[in-house]
Amino acid sequence: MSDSAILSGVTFVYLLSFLLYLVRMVRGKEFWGSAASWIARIGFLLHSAALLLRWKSSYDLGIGHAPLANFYESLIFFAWAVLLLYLIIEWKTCSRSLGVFVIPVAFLLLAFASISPGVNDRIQPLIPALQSNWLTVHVLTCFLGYASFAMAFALGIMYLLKGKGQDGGKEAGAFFRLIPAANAIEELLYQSVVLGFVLLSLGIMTGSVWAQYAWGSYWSWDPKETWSLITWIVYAVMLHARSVRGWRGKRMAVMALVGFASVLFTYLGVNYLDSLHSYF
Amino acid sequence: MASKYTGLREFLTSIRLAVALLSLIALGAVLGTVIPQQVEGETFAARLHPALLALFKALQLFDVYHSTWFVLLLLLLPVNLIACSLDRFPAAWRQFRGGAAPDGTERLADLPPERIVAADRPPAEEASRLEALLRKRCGRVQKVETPQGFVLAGGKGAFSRFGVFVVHLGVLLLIAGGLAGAIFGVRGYVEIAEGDTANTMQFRGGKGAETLPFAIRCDHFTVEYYENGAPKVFRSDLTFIQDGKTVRQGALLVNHPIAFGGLRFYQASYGLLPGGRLNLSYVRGDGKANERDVAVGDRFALPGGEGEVEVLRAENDLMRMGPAVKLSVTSTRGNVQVWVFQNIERIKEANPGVLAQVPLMNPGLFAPYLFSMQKKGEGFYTVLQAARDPGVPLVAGGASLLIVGLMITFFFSHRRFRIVLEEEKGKSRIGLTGSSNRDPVGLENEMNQLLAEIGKAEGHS
Repeated sequence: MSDSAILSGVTFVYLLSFLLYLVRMVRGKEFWGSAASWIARIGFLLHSAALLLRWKSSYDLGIGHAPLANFYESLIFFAWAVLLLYLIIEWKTCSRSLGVFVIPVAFLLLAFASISPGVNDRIQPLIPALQSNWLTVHVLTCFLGYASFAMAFALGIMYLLKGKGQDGGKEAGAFFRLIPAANAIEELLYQSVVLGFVLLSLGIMTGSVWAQYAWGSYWSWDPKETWSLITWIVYAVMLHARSVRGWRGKRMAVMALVGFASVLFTYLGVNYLDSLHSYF
Repeated sequence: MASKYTGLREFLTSIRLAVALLSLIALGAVLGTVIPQQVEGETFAARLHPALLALFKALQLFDVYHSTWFVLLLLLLPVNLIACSLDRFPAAWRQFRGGAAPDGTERLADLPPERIVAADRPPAEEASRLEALLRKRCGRVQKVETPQGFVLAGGKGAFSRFGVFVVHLGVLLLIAGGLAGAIFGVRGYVEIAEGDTANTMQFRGGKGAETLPFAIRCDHFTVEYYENGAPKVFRSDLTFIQDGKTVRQGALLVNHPIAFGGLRFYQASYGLLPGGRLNLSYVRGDGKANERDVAVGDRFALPGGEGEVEVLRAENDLMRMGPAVKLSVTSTRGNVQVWVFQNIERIKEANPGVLAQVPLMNPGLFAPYLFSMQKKGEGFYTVLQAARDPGVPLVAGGASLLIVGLMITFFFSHRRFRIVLEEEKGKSRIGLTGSSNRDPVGLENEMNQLLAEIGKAEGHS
């Protein structure tokens, strides 16, 4: 069975997990949440196995490289990183409420990778510019960073929804009752942004080192580079507003959404502009 | 005057200015990615309304990253950064030195009950045990005697107060390095045909050229492909020659630059030389050999008027057997067509009898003439990017500081603990308070741990 066939299957596993998380939120019964968690964990294991299989297959083809070398591979790694971080958070906080906001992100990423006709899922050999160990470190740090920002995004949505739910008065229902306390969401959101910010900084730095070796210039104002800087600035402003101006709560939640929009444009939108990063 | 300076100082040290600068830089960056820049901008400019075009030109929007206003923003940022950091450093230093010492007014009554434990021994005895406990965690411990007992104070991770300054120093170095590179850096291209030697570096953007104090010969250029047609290797075998002597030889590959003579060389590009040179020689019987450079479409007469030759095709690599030309020889005997291979000797060795089976490959088909060909000057030229950037060490240092600073700022926190001991009927009641500059969850966990240790004393109740 090929790795991309497994990943198509995993897409539906995540969809199922999301639906179960949703049922939990609506019905308020932890049975559904437990089922959703187990399905998500099984999906994650299959997902990991598919990544390893893909890695091995590339060696069987004689063009061995880590599965982090084209757009398809970046999508499936992004989704994997989202699941990894989510499952860690679920385990650490003992709360399943974030699942309904995060799992769809992973599902959409995988669905896009599997369905979009523009995404080539074949294992491709590395062209000369990509033949560098910095490629692996760069993609790894960037996408773990993106996944952290995806967490912050989901937490931001959860925070804003909670605010709306409270405005609704007594008729809040199970959905809103199951959303954790505002300050718990807020702290987790901040931690996610911090982790993402450090990883994005590392990602930009490793990318610069690689560019210095490959193209003789650590920074060329290439659109993707520039947009990663813009994203970095958005989160830098967010962190400064928090520590110096004392921004909390709703403002931080909104900033997490703005930041993630910038991440998505850096990742996907830039491809509509000319770029050195045409492989991703 | 004093108030004027205060105003200026407030302006320069304000976080508003920092946020405004960062936002404007981000905005400029957005414009730079959306509006076609430099050369690509020219075709775009032609489609703009004249008034809009004038505005774009006035705002230097076709070269945002080098425009006066963008560079000015990038230069104002360090001013703001330095001002902010200087402004906030003394406070951070005070916090580092321990902040406010316990003044003896701390009372257990102010603490939540879940932060208080009871112990069997009097405060004086418990205090020395707890002092040791706190010292193990925090190093230095301050002890103050109060009418009710003691207050112990200690802190850890105080260095994390400086993380933010390390980050800012990193950013300053990054900007300084970028500036040094922009002012003192050199960037250009060296183009060398295979087999040729070059010593001229063309500056980027057609801004003149420089003669290098050494020469580079491209001995060979190789491009290899994967089975799917994607390129696998671009490789220039180079020889660096100084004063007529070979000083260094090496293979230049993408991602593997070569440093020589204060410059770093990168495999940037390559191309096929226009036309290439195909040298055809022909000999009649055992007579004198003639040779000439030919190209597709050339016609020439054989000496003695025995026929006319036309070059029909020229291939760099025909059927994986190397370079070949197809000739058509017209004479009174009719028309003869023949492929002349450069590697005919090797082909004959590998395929005995091939000339009999495939007369089209027989260079002696038009007897008594024998043709042979050789590709001269080879077909490729390579383009090396050459760069000298004195800013790189600054940038590398700045980036490292930035990362280290972020780690210090975000993965450590300055946690301060106070243990309040009060006497009650010959025994002790012990309370714990704590504060931290960030990470309340981590503080909470550590305080629970510490409280457990405090309560673990022998004979606790």
